[in-house]
Amino acid sequence: MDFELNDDDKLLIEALEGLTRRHGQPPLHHHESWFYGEQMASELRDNGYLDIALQEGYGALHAALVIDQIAQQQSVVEVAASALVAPMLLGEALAGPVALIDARDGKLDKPVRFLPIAKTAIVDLGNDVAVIELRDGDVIAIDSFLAFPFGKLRNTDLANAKYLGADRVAALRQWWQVALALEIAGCMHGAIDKTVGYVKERRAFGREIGAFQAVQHRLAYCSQMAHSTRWLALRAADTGSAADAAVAVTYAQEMAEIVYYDTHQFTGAIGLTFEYPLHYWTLRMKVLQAELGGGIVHADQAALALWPAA
Amino acid sequence: MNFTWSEEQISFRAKLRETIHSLLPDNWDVISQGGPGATEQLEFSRDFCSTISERGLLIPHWPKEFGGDDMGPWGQFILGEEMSAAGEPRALQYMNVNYIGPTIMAFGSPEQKALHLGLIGKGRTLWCQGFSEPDAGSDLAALRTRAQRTDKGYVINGNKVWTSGAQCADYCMLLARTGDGKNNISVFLVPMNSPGIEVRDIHAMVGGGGFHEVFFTDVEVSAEVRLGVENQGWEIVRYALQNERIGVPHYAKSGEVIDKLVRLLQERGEFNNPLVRVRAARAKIACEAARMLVYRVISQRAQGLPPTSDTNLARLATIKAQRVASDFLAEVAPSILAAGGSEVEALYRYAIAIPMASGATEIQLDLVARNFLNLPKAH
Repeated sequence: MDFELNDDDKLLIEALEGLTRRHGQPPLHHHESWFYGEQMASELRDNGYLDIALQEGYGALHAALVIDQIAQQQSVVEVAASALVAPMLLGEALAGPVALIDARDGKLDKPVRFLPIAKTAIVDLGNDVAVIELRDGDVIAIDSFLAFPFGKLRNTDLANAKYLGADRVAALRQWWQVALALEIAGCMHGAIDKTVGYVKERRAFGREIGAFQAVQHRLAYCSQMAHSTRWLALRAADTGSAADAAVAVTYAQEMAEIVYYDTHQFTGAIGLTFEYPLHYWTLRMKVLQAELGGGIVHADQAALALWPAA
Repeated sequence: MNFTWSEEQISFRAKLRETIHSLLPDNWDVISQGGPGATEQLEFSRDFCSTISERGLLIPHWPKEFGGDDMGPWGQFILGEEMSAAGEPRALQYMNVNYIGPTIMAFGSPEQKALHLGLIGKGRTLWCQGFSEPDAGSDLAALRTRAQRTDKGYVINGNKVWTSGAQCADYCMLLARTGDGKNNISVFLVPMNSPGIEVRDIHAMVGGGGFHEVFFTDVEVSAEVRLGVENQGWEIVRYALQNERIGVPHYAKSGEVIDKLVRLLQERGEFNNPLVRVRAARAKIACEAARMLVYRVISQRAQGLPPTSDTNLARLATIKAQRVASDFLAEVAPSILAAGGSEVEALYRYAIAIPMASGATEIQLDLVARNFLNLPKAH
């Protein structure tokens, strides 16, 4: 048990920090609900960060560190499915960006994040996993105010899909859960860091609003939640345990709701505008909070994983 | 970074479980009903700790020069988790080995080390902590108990309150004023059989005999019982509290009681209800959220890094976990709680005190805001 980064881990983080300093923010005067970081995505891909889970001496935990770092950025990039879910599910990297489709209800015709830019989709069919290579015209883009590029499949017959079999369904869900928890952890930290900076500057009633205990205490709790979320998610990536994954995603999704409201509350009306960056993280959290059924569904899965019937 | 236990740690945990299991009597549920501060559990701890001391399991985390096995912070925490999960058969001797002993190691005279570390290491000595007073709880600086310098040493007058285990204690780690200024505070290692000390019970929600008032009336002690130099009290207390605030893995006990309750609900068929499962999972997950932050602190200590505000963050998560867990127990098992005499009751009665012990939750929140988030000083 060791929660400290070793020298290799520190080098990885430093390299990612350099990359994100260059490409992590949208251009000035970008006033949309999301900005896809093409340059950040291509540098991540070209420098091998997206298949780090498969590289000698590295693994899922390193992919997890990449996801966490990237999710802290204002720009959005598809990393979680490419760097963690696909490699751990298939043992190989897929052409990215990769979209994950939850079709357990039998419905393929639904909004899915990253689908308009995806080259591959992995579909949870409930009793099987399908992998689809996407071609031009396969996806209809959706104009959503939520903080991802959304789209839906035009053609839902999956005629050209590769099927992995029912025994891969659990693995897909487990790594998807871990990826979600990591993305939420990164978004929480991004939103909290921005808000803490804001309340140190913004003054009301003659003092910084960060000097009010009512604000301080809630941000302290937010910080605790964000840190717990990160460590639970990193643990789930390292152990590969289904129970750890369910625990991590439940906590992440249920705490995201609190961090979302508190960071907005303390940032006030400016935080509701697209000219202020808070929404990049919070609107992503709102999407991630509900994915795969949300916290209540995952809490039940966690219960079944933690206490299997005798 | 890794999240798995070494073979040595796994083996240590297994040995601990086996030892605890073999030493706990059939009526342990009855003995432990009142919690670690109750007389029955305190008296039980004298034989229990003496036995595990002989087996090298009381202070394995202490340095070898003080009788330990150099197992360090992770050894301490595996020990703490297993003891806590079992209902803490060490009773309040956990304080001895977690922070009273280490504080004496750090600040004690050679004579104090020889006397107290030897006694603590044998497992037969009970201590209480004389910090809180009627007008000085989280605001310790308001304390009024005074140790007046005399030719022979000090004369102590004042009273302490909420003192767990005082009814059985052999020694008290006492905080007293040695002057009128804010920093004129010193620590004394006072024998509880000193003339002039009176202990009174306080009947309370928190379980059998856990609370006491301790009155000091013209208690004469020698200067040799002062720990460190005069007026070094705050430094010593800060050192001790860094260990105390996360020294008890409450999440381990809560998690164990939740596990037992779930097994009971499964037998009764009540765990087929998804609403019950969700509540159980949330309670257990809150414990895991605390566990991760506590482990983060232990990992820092194991690396020899100085204490940080991560300790306060971990304590926030621990407090929350205890609350969520006890609410789950009360709501899902009201009949067990109402019937009394169960671990559920013991945990529920203890849980309400956790957010106040070692400095109120709000103090932890202030510390996180100021030292971790670097927010402006609150008005």
